[in-house]
Amino acid sequence: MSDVHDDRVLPRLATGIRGFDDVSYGGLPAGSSTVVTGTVGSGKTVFALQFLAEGIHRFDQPGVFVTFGEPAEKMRRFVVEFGWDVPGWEQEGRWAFVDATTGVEDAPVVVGERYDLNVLLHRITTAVQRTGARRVSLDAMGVLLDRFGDVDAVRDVVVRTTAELDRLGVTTVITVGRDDDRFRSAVGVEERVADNVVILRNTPVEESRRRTLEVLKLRGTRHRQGEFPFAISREHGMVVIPLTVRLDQPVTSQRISSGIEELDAMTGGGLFQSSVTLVSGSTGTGKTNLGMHFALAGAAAGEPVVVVGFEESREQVLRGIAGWRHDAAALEASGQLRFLIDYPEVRTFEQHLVRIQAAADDIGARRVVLDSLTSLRRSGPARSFDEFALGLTAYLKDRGIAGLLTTGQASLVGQEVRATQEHVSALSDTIILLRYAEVYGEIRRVLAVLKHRGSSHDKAIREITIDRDGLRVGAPLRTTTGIMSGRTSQLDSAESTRVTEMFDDG
Amino acid sequence: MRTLAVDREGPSVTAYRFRLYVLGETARTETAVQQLRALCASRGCAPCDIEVVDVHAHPEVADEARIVATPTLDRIAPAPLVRVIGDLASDQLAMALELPPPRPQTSAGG
Repeated sequence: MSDVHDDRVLPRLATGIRGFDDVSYGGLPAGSSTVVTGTVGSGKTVFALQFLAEGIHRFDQPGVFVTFGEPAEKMRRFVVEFGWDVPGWEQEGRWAFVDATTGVEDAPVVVGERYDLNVLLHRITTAVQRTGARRVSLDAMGVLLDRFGDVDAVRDVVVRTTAELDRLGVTTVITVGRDDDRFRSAVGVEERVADNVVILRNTPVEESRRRTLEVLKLRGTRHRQGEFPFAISREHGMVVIPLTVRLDQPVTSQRISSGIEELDAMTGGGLFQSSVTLVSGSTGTGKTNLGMHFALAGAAAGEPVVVVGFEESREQVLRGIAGWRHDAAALEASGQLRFLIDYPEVRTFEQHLVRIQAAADDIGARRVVLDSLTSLRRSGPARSFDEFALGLTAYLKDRGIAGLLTTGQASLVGQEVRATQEHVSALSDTIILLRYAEVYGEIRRVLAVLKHRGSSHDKAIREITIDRDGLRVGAPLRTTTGIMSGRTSQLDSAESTRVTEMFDDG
Repeated sequence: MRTLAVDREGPSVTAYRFRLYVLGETARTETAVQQLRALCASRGCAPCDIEVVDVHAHPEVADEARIVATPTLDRIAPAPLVRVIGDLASDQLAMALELPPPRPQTSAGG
C-alpha cells in the first residue's frame, strides 16, 4: 500500500473528522453525494452531525441537517453531548435543521394517494440558499419509504434532491440503514444517487464491540482499502484510526537523552527523536523507573511529555520518583508533564488512543511514555490491541514524537515472546530488555539494548541498580552467560574475554 | 368570546378549522377545497374555515409545520391536530378527519 496521493483525483472536501480524511486521501469528493451506511447504532448519525459541525468549526462552511428519523428538537439535545454549539450556530445562520419527520407529536397522520414530495426539495434548497451551506446531511433518509409507500414519489424526490445539491456544489452525506434494503434497491441509492459509499460497522468481538469504518468507493478514485477502527467519545466525537505507519517519514538523526547517561552511551549518543522504544521486563525490573527517567529528562529539557499509566495511581508514580533530580510535581504544574492515569477497562482501545492523541496534541508533546502495554492488553480483544499499538506508533511517527512503551513479562527470568509482543517489537526502533539474572547465587537486575535502529549500540548485558536517585546502569556482566534463556552459568574470565572479543563492534 | 354566543339551549357548535398546504396553487387545489367544503356541509360541520398555504411561497411555514408532502391537510380545530397527506375518497377523508356522521337529510359523500 502506497501513501502517494493520486493527483488525478477530483477535488476533495476535508471533512474534519479526524482520521477519515487520511483513509479517504483528503476527504469526500467535493460537490457530490456520499452514502454512509451501517446498522443501528453504528454511528451514522454521529458521522452526519460531525460532518457539519467540523465544517462550521474548522472551515467556516455552513451546513444544513435534514433529519428524517428523529425530530430536530431531539437532535438539538443529542448534539449538546458532543459539545457542538448547534443552537448558537443556528442563531448565527450557519446551521439549519430541516425537520423532515412528517409527524406532529402524537398526532395521527393518514397518508392517502397522489401526493408529491417536492416540497422537501424546496425546503432543503431554501435552507441551503439561506445559510449559504457548503455541506448537507440527509440523515436516515430510508425512513421516507416507510412513511410514504409510493416508491416512484420517494425515488423521484431523492434523486432530484441529490442532483440539485450536486448542482449547487454542495457536498452531501446521506445516511441509510444497512438493513434498509428496500429503500436502497427501490431508489437505486448506489446507482442513481451516490458515487461514494462508506460503511460503518459495530460488531461484537470477545464480549466487547469493535467499531470500524470502510470506504467502499469514492467515485472510482483512490482511497485506502479495508476496515479502520474508530472511536466515538463525548470529547472528540468520531475519530478514525488510520493504522498505517508512514514509512516515507523522514528519519530524524536528532538524538535525545533517555534520562540515563549510561544508557545514552550504550545507544551511541541517545535515542532518536522520532522513534519508538520498547522496554520489556518482568515486574520489579525497573520498567516504570526507566520510563520516568525518559519522561522527566524530556520535560526538564522543555520537551512536553505525556505519561500514560495503567499500573499505578498518579500518587504512587510520584512517590516512586520523589527525590530524583527533577521535580515531577513542578514539571506537571508547569504543563511540561501530563499524567493520563486510567484503569485500562474504562475505555475501549480506540478511546484510549484518541485520548492519548488529544492530550499529546494539546500540550504539543515531544515524548510519550506508556506503562504498560501488558496491563492494557488484558482489557480487550487481541486484534483491537494490535491495532491500538499500530495506531499509536503511526501517530507518534506522524507527529515526530519519541515514544517509550513498556511491556511486561510473565516469567521473571528468561525470555518469552508472544504474538502481541512480536507485533509491537516489529514496530519498535529500539528494544531494551530488563531482566533478573542469577549471578554467583545472587539475583541481580540487568539491562541490554537488543535493537537500536539507525545506530550501533553496546551489546553488553549490564547490571543495573535502583536506588533513591533512580536507575543506574553499571558494568557489563562479562562472566555470566545464558541470561536471556534464563539458564545462567558463570565463565572463567579468560573465556569471557575471548567470547566478548569475537562479537565486539570495536 | 365566541363561545359566549353559543345558544345554551341548542347543541354546542364545534368550529372546524383546516389548513391545506399545497405546492403552487393549481386547479387541483381548488378541487380539494371544494371537496372539503362539500364534505363539511354534508356532515354539518359549520362554521368551516379553510386556509390554503402555498409552501412554495412560504417555505418557512412548511418548516414550522414539518410539511414533507403536498397536499397536506391539517385539522387545526377542534384540537388535537389531525393530518392527512395526499388524496382520500370522501368517506375515508371524513373518517380520517374525525368528522361527525352524515346528516340523515343529506346524501352521504360529496
